[in-house]
Amino acid sequence: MTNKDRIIKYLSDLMDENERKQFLNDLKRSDELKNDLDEIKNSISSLKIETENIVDTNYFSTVIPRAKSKMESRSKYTLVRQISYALSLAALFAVMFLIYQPGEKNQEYTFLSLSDFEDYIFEDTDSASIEYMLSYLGDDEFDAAQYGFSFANSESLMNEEIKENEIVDEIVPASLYTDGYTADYTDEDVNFIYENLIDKKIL
Amino acid sequence: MLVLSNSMNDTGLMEELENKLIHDFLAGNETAFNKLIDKYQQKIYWHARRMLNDHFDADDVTQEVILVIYKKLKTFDFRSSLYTWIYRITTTRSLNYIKKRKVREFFSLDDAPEKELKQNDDIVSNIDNKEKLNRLDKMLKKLPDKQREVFVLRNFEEFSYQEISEITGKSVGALKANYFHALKKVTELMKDDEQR
Repeated sequence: MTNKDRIIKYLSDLMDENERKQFLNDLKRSDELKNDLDEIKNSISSLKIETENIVDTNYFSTVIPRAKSKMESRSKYTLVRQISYALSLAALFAVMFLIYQPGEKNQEYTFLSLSDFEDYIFEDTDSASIEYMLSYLGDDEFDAAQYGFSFANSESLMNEEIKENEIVDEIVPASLYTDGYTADYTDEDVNFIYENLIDKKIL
Repeated sequence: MLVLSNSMNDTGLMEELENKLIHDFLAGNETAFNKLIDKYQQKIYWHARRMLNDHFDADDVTQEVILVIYKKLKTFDFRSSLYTWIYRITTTRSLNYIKKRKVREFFSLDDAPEKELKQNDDIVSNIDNKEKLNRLDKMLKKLPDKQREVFVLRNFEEFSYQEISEITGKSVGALKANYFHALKKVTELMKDDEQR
């Protein structure tokens, strides 16, 4: 172990009793070790700055007023944010309800060209693999595992989705589903949903 | 011995005064809160500054810590010292801020050029001190967060390992190991700096 390592170990208080005694004895006998210790101690001390005297004192007189005004604006903002979240949530539910109405048959589809399909869906996959894969679509012998797909994965994805739905069920109680997702929520309902979202660490 | 007993009395007296200020604040006296913060705000700022290596980030964290103290002082149980409690909040907030800053930097949301320009607004006006501080900031920036945390608390705030353990919730052994690595790295960085 070098002198430097021993000194740093000593300064970090990592030496056991015997090692420490030995180090202190060596320190008495070796000028080199003593000089090295002084050098390291001095260089560390040189990093210290007398912070009391170097700052603009006006700065600290502004800290408390700024913190308090931040607190006031934050409490106003929290209320606005709660209302915004509630409105966004309601709008999202309304859109989802309109899109996925049960029994709705007249849905419009956007058709993508093969190259668009490649761009959007298989962005990170090379085109040769995509063409090979597409040539097997619909074929019973298509070896999904070869492309990293597995039924185990799809099952776990499905479980995840079920779990997410359960979380949503917990967040938005059934009583609030009454008129679909477009129900007019009271402030209490909004607070309940918001608190739930916070608890579930979704927000 | 006399000095020690005097200082012990001083410490006891100070704690008593602080406790009175806390009780006064909890009873609704805002001035008592201002007095408490007046006493600690410089320590909060400098600890945050050394953890974050940036005046503006430290300013944000200082205000955040004041807000936390304001809201959470009612939960202070008087078992630990207020000093340690405030350092614990400042350390935690600074580490959280570092994490957020990393996320922002990852998504390139940080406005770095603007920040560079604003460096002139630093509260340290003296050029020598500013250079010294910049050198320290650059050096501390190169330490991993855990090492920086223990290095700053032990070296600048002069806390014992036991006190740092109370502040950070880490074991004394782990703190010693982190301090060892921090010290080793800092001495190497200083040597490199001198050679340039």
